[in-house]
Amino acid sequence: MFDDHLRKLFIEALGETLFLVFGTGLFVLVIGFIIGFLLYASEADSLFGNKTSIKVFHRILATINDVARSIPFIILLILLIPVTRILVGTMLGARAALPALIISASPFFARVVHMSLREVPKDTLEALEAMGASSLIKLKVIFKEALSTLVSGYTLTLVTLVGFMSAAAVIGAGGLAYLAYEYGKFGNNYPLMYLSIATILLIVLIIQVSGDYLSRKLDHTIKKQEKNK
Amino acid sequence: MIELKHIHHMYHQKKTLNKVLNDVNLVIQEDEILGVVGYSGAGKSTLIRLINGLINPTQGDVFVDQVNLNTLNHQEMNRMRQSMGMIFQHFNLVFSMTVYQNIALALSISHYPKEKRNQRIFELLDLVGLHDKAKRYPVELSGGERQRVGIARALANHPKYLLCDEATSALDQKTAKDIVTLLKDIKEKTGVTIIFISHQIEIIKDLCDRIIVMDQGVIIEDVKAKELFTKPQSPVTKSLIKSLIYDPMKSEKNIYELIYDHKNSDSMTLSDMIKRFDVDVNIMFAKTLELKDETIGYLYLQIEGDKQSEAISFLKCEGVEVNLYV
Repeated sequence: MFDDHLRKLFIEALGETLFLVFGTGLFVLVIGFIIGFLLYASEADSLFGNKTSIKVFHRILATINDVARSIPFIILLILLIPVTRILVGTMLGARAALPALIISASPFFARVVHMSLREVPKDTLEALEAMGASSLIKLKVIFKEALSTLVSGYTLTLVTLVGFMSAAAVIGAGGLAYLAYEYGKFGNNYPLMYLSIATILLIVLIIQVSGDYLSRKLDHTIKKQEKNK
Repeated sequence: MIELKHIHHMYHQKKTLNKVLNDVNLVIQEDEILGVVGYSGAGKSTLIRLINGLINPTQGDVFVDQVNLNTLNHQEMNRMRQSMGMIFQHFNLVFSMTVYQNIALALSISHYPKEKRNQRIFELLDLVGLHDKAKRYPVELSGGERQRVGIARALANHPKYLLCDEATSALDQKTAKDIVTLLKDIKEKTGVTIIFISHQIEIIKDLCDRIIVMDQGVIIEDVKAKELFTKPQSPVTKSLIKSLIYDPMKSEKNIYELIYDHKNSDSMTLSDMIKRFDVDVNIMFAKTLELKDETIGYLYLQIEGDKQSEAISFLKCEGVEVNLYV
């Protein structure tokens, strides 16, 4: 059913997919985190104070972030074709999808980070303030408190990324989705198509299950008994 | 010693100016347990937050051990806060940290010597009776236990002052009493000055030496606990006390409220009065209140007879507080 050539093709595509998920995942983690943190810090009264310049900064950052987030991925992909040509030098293969994926998923994750940090109760911050905690310690505690939601938010982002990648496949970016699309569309190798799709689903499943597990492990707001149910 | 001098506090909300505190003056001596009571919106929470600089007054000065908080920069303020403990209505613990880590956090904030931290944490856990709960997360504890962790955390750095913001209001009555007992015990052992604000006068009366009543941003009474219950002045105080005593009278006439302490309870004042002035007495209702070191009795009597007013004067001469009820 699969000759050596196809097998090689599949392995390559799998490699590309993993490279895309975790490569973009890493970029998105860093960029999204920074933007999300800045959104949070420029909004809370206690961290940077209540100056007008901070408020303006927050407004601008939030607007850019929301605009970037609301452009549909497939449109962004086409929009970025010239930029991608300059940056990556090609419109084909896995690397060509990188800019669009990063620009699309980072604002999404930034909002997730922003929301998670905001969920840390003001009461907790007041207690830290009353203890005379420095800003550094306050931030450490805020992150520790938000970690569980951050992890589940990141899981959500990674799963969304896999979806984006499948869309990118249509314009020629590589990976398993591209393989499924190419071999499925022309109907010449259904088994390969199904194998590719199954592998994508498996990747999603692994991300989701391990993300959920980790998030639950870090969550200390739910009682142990309830967790085990 | 904590001094509040001519404190005004206000904030703008949708173009209306809200006055929270209006010319508040207060001296808190070391070694006392001060209770601040009042209905919500009276300015109690703002008052307590002025002391550790969580809120800056719009006008006026706060002195803590002769240091004016207005003159402190951010770092000095943080250092000042490390020498004060604060506990909260909703405990405000860090959920992602164990009991041990929550207390350790307070110690690391103040740069407490690392090698002594472990010992200090277990000292504190012993003090609040949670020795075996060190590795638990807050969510696994009951409300009373969480507040105990809050107390341990607040006391970690040997503070001179302990600020309690509605510390028992989220707890059931029995647990609240346990926390009060614990605070009294801590006061004995450490000598920490306690400032306890609450809308629950039944908690304040068990705990405090001196009580302040606040209403609409103003201190309306500032007296020893006993005096507040025997000679309440303002309508707010009276209604707060009344909330402790069931109020069965509706339209009866000539009802008097007799307030007495243990000094009066030895003599036969009441039967003396009946014999001497030939009045009819009907007991409507009676109740005793346990204060921190004292018991106060409230007796509601219907007194009728020709020499009614003389009888009342007689009671007053005997040292009983008499007020016309209704």
